[in-house]
Amino acid sequence: MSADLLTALAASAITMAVPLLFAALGELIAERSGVLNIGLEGMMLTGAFAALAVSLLSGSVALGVGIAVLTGAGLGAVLAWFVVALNANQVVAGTALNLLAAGLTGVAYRAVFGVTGAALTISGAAAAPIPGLAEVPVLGPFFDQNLLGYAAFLLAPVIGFALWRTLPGLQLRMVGENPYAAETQGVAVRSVRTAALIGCGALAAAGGAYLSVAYANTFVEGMSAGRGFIALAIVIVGRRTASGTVLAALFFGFATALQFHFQALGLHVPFQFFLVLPYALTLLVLAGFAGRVGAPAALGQPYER
Amino acid sequence: MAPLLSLHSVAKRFGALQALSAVTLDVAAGEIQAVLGENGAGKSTLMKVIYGLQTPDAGAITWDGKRVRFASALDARRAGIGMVHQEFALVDALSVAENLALSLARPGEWRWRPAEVQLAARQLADDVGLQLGDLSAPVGGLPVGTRQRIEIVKALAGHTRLLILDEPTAVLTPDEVAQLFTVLDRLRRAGTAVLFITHKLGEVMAIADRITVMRRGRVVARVARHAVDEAELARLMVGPLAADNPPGEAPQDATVQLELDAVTVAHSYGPPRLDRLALQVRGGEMLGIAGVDGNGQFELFELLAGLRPPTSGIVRIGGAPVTVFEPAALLAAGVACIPPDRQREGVVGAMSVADNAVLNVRLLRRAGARLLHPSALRADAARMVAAYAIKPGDLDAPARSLSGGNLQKLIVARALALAPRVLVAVNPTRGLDLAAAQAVYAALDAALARGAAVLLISTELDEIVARAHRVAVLYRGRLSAPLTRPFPLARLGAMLAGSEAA
Amino acid sequence: MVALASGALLIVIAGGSPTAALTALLNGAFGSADAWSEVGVRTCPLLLAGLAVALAFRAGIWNIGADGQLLVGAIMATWIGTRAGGDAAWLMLPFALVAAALGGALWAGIAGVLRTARGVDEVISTIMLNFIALGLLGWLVHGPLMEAAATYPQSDPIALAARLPRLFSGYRLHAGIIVAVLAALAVALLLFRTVLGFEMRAVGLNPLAARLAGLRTTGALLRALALSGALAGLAGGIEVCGVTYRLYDNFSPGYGYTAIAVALLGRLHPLGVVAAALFFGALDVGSLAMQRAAGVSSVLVSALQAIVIFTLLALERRRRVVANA
Repeated sequence: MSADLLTALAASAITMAVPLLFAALGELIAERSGVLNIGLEGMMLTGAFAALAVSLLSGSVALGVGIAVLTGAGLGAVLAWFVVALNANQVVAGTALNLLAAGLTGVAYRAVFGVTGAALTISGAAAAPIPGLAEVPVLGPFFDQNLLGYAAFLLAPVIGFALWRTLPGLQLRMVGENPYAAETQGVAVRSVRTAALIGCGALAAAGGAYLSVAYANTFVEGMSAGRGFIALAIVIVGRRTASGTVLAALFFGFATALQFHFQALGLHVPFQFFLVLPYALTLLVLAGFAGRVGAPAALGQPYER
Repeated sequence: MAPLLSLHSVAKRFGALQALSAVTLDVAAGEIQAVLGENGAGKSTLMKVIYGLQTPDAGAITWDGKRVRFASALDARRAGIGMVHQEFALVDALSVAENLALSLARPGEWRWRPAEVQLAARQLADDVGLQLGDLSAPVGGLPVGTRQRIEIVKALAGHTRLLILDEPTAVLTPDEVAQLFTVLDRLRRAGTAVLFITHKLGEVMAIADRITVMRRGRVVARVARHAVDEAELARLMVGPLAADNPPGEAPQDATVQLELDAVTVAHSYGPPRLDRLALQVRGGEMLGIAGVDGNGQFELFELLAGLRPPTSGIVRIGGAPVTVFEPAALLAAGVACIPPDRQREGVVGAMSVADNAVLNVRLLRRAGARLLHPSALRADAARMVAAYAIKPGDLDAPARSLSGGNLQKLIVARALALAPRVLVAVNPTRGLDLAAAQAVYAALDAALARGAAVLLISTELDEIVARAHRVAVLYRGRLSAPLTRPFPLARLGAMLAGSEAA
Repeated sequence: MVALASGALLIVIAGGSPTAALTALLNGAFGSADAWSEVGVRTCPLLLAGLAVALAFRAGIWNIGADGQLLVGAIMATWIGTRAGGDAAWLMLPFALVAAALGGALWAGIAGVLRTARGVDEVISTIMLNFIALGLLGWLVHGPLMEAAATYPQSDPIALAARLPRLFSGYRLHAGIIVAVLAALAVALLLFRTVLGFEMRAVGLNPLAARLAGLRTTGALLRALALSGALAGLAGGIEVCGVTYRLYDNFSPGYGYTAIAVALLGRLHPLGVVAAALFFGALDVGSLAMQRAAGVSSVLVSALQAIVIFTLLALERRRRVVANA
């Protein structure tokens, strides 16, 4: 296997990992606070659309990404209103959010850009290679990303630090484990969960924005293509830690990237094998380590006092 | 001296239940005040009102001379009130230090620094003479006494001037109770006010300066400790005593319906939950199992309900050994249970009264049928509702809409409809009013009259002494030899504390 | 009402006139015999998948995997249907449908076994299984089941003997709708007239109390999930045997997800699910007409489904508050 091929593989693995990492970090925050956010997919899709639409209309990719993040945060707030304020079932509300995003982005896309949507491309976020490091074989692509890509990998340790080394992070984890205990120590359970969902929405939308303005440079209906669910899986496989999430995201990014390179690698397996790989792997991991190990004790349960 | 905290005419209502009516109370700095009352008297609700976890419907609360309204526990904590809850509010997955961090953090601090929190925790614990052990250990594996000490440190953090303890001794051994009282005494001398909720007379006499007695949501007496004795307190607490109704003679020659032979239920850590238990109950006989909560009562219930198999030993029902420990198997053998937690274990709250009345495999499956017979089942349910005067008599109302007493009557009616050989009742009158409790007792008597063996597992010694033919005491998983009537009350009291553990 | 109002608002945002759109929608759904037939065609998979979801939810199982189970059912039916008929051609249709139901049941059964044996949350496992089924379908129509001509990624059409008869000549409405309605009745009987159904409902609402009452818990749970999968699988099989006659990528436009809205709108009652499926079927068909006539995008429908779910969740909460007051 040549170094060029490996470098190309690493480049696409990292590119594929970034949107997954964004969304998975968001989900990590939400799940640590005790909310299972099934609506990740819809948040990504909305982010992808908002980023592209605003970038295209304003000419500024940065503004596009910013608006996308705000939109995602808004979706997080909507979901929080249902699952935190109204104690609605998290699975049902999350699924509804996915349907809503699929419908709204489709409608808005056609309304703004017409049904054809031909040649709806933008120049996208520019790469910002780090001189010297970017040219290194195999690992080089890591230092040859656009700003969003760097942001994702920088956010992981920041979020890890926030969750495990600060008191607000401790509050959030406590709410996810035992909201009653948290409340008796003066933690505002609902506010913490709402904030976690807003943060989750913002991050998921950033992942979606990466898809449209940094990877594909266009928008296609349903372009998140299940990545929200892969991100859900990443959090589980990463055992709900920041470092585990990064590793799992890179691994799943690698699995996804394989589909572009497997022929060059001389692998004779059906293309769909790589599509299915992340999901199948997650099932195996879950079956191997028993389902709820590492899951916050109050995950998925509404809190009513 | 002006009281630190005073409540005036506080009221709180939950649906049909008037939990508190016109409660007036005051606590001074440097005193230990006991709030005494039976289960369901409204003590816990009162504490939650003081601590900001419940908002009162009416009345005034004055703290340190100022009218206050605590909207949350945070408000109360900021004002200087700490509370140790009956159910510990600890996070099992987190370490001791993590559990304490939010309470011990300096204002304005945002970093989570384990070393600083550990230092602060040790200091606070040493001040009042509490041993916390390894502060980096996860709370999940710690014994109950240690957990309570963590809770106390948490409650004392941040210049607490009033410490509320909700039934703190229910889970403690006598040694641990003595240690706790030493700590409380130190706090008193340091000028902290302590509100001590309990239903145990001995503890009140041992530690309290003043005593507020509650019954059915009302304050019925406020007295100084030296002005009363235990008998007087007991009379105040339970109100006009129901006529003691000693059971008839226990049959001597009836067959043994329930027999446990050297039954042990081990636990993954610590001593076995049930240790070589042996007992026999004949048809028509009631054996009372007394004991402080947490000494194996729940495991005994789980064993006889089929939720948990014994590690070793034999359980015989009607002489036949039980081989499969599944609820269905125990039911088939003729065991019926009145479980300790009515809402969680007794009914499916969202289903109707009619459905819950027949919520049992033996009532549902007539002659092994796979199809339901709705009209017959409904008739069964209607009979139960009528026979036990379950109110309101609406068969289609969801079971969770019933009051505690009516819910328990429904559960008891269903258990008796199974015509059990063995009836296991766990704290069957907890939280019930007198009329409902009498109905439950009547049902137990009816089961006895029909020849069932009744095992009454209860933490209420009075109840057991009044109803059972024989009494045995569970202490740390071991069962004493049974005592017969007339029961030596003083000796029983000592046995609860472990004096004669087999 | 809230759903309707937000729907109208959406239409305006999408650049249409609400009244024109609504007229087009109603005309498209009920304006002609053909429209009625199309509504029936669309209702059929929604009804069966909706029943699948309702049954699972009743038993406290959050089966989000109806879509995957439906796909596996479609795969099984296609596989049987594209085998040569031989002498027993009349057996082919029932055989295809039974295989579809079995396939769906087995697919759901994976999640059931993972939950009961390994404690794996079925929400996650059924979602993962949806995507695995999607990959499986893609592989099959690009590979083993690809049409003999090998032009498009789709299967050969199934044999005539494996096709469901049409109810009226000239219209696409097929006998599958009868199967679906019968299935609704069967689910109603199961839930409310059998011991197993009682067990499922009790386990779904309070597993501990159900177990103490001697009811089957694991057994009821596995059966509910398998039956749920069978219904979803049947939906896929009937779609192949009654409408598409072949398998291709994007076979399901998210029926399994819409089914969640159907089940909730039907208040998890089988007969309510019939009405809800009809509603969403009409919405689907009507929205296509609306798109043609009023220029309002048909993808609006999934947004409307979402709004229906959200509205129900909000109302549910209000009811609870009122009940507790």
